[in-house]
Amino acid sequence: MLFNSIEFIFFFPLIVIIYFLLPFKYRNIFLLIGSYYFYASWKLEFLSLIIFSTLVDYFSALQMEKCSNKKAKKKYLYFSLIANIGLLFVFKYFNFFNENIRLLLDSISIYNEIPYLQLLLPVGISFYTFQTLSYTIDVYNGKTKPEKNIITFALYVSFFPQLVAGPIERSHHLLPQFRKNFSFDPERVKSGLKLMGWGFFKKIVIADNLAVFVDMVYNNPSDYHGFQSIIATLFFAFQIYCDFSGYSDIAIGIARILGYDLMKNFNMPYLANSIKNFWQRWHISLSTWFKDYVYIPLGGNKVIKYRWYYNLFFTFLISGLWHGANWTFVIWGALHGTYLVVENIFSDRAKRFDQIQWLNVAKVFFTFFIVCLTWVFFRANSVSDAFTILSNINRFENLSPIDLFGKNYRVELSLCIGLITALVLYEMYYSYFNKKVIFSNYVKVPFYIAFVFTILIFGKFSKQEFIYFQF
Amino acid sequence: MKKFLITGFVFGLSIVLVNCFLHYFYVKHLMRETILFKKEAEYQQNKDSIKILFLGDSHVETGFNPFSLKNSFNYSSAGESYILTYFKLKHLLKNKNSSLQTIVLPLDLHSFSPFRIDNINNDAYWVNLADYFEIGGVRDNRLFFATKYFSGRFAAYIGNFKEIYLALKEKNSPNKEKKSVMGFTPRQGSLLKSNRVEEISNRVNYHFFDSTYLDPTLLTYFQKTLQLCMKKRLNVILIKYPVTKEYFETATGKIEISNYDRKIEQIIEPYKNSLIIIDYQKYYFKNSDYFLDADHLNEKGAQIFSEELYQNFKELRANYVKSDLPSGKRSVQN
Repeated sequence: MLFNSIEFIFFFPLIVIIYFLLPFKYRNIFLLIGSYYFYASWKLEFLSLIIFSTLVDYFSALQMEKCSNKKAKKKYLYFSLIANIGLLFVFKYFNFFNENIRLLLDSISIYNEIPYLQLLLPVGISFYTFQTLSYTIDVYNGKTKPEKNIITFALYVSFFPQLVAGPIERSHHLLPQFRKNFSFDPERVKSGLKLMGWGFFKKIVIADNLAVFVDMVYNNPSDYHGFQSIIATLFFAFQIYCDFSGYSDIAIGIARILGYDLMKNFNMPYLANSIKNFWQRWHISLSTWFKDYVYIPLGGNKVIKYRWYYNLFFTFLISGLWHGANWTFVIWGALHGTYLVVENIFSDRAKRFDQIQWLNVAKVFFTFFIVCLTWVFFRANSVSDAFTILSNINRFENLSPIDLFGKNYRVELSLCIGLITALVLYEMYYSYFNKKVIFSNYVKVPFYIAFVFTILIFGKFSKQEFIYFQF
Repeated sequence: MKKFLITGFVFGLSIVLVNCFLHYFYVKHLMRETILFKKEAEYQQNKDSIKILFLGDSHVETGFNPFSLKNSFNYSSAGESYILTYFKLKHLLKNKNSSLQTIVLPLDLHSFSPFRIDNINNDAYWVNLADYFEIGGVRDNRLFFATKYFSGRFAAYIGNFKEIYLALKEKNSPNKEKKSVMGFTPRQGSLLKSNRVEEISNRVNYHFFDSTYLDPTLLTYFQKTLQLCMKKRLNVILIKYPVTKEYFETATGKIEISNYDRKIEQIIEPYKNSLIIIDYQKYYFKNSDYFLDADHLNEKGAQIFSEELYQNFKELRANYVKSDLPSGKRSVQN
């Protein structure tokens, strides 16, 4: 069930109404059933995997609490790690590694007989396995106490707003909220609905309209030349931002209506003035997860310089692989790792230029440019397609800008350019003045009505999944 | 809470009222400027004199000029699958005083490919003709088609900003050119030489995106269309419209043409004495300047093709008495 689907239009109000009508002691079980129904609507069999992951980590954490020392705790931690990462490996990475081992062995004339698995990738598996792993690791490290109530813990794992595409919540932030009794709060509901509206606008109006041009070019890269490839890449930068941050906004809005606070996942990432700053603003829940559970355990920056660079690079390499079982994602991660290493190498020398205002603006543009280069690999269907897109930049044809994609797409192209411009201006205003646009009450209602119809008229309503569902 | 509910009610009511206004304005004023509705109006104006009706998709829409054939009308539309053609014809034949004698249908390589089967554009138009609930049942996608039905009936403007923009532009244009004459929508332009191969290859990949080129639902509705014509004692002519040589060769490389022909033969077998097939696919292989793109004729090509069609129809008509059904199946290869 997608957020932008007819089924959800019926599902969500029903959940909210019943939730607030129920006595507090039944709410968690009701939300859990609703979340399982939400997840099972993709494929019933997937439910068994999330229940397996839930039970493994629930019992591992309880056993860890009973252990007197870390050595004893470790075996339960390893059990949880192997179960969750094993699940991820089997469904997501097995065929990728099998294929690459096959190619390697073929090159030295050894025949690999291991068959490929014909398994569908369960939706959200990368998200909920990481969420449960953070819980068991935190219990192991003593940062959080294990949850004794299995219903509450199962709800933490499968809470439907953030189940399939995050934000990846930490147990110490989300679990305690399930023990609180929230009453119906009209202000929270209004705030949640506004956030959902903004999320739907970004997804249905901006991201899905941009997708038309991105798919055109990236699905047939050799048919297009420089300008078209550049525009498609630029469009993809905003498509993935609006798609993913739109989903996060909807998830946070839904949770807010129910009374829960989810963490902010995006903070205007394209206004970042460095790659480090970009990762403090983009997919915050994932970048902090990798920082806390991969980068810092490796030593972080508390090691010698070259080990520090290795830690940075390796963390991003793994982050790339998390996104998908394809070399394009590995290269994407490696590029970000490389950028960060280079940035750190020159950071001391660059500090003296921090006071020059126009240089800060140039840094924002430069950061955006190098991030866009990595998006080529992220979006391309294969490494060779990515290089085709990059090499297209040398091929320019004399085409009028508005007819770049043919006369039939003039209107859509103009709309997309207008939407991106409006989004960038809005985010710059919000960032610079640090406040939202405030309307008087007389303007608010017509504005909200106009906003709803802007989504309805300009939105694309064909079944477009959220990009991050494939991870 | 009470204030919240009242605010919510007022907001919801405002949404409903604005929706009704927008839907009414879209259907009654803006959609009148679109080809589909203009063609409908033109058909209604001339229906008493129309004896030969051309139905089908853009191959027909851009390919046949009724000027060449007296008492004919081109009632095709871009993207029209056999599901929609069936419902359109069924709707037209509800009129007991219909003057129709002959129906001309397409029999192209892509006619039964599922690439557009669920893509019904312009719900505001089709919702009056097609049974969306039947289609939903047949496609096993009831919720999707039910949504399309209700949006076509009550909120047709949803997701149609481009149509709104183009209709407003047309409405406010001082020079309103007549885009269609007796349903014919000519297209200017020709296939570019520079990216010809890529364009044709993309077109074939679009039409035959997977191995299914004989979708069971489309074949069923093709059969239902033939049955409807036979029931109403209408003549049926099946035409394979001209395509470029590269398109034909690429497409026949993707599909098993013998299997295609066998399946079609199976379906038309009960009616073989009552219909005619005319194959023009290879007719203009040497005349790529007649084509707008891989598989559509441009205005020049359409003019020449229409004349050719007229000549063939004259020959066919000479062989039997006007009001009788044609006797014997004829497959005229050119």
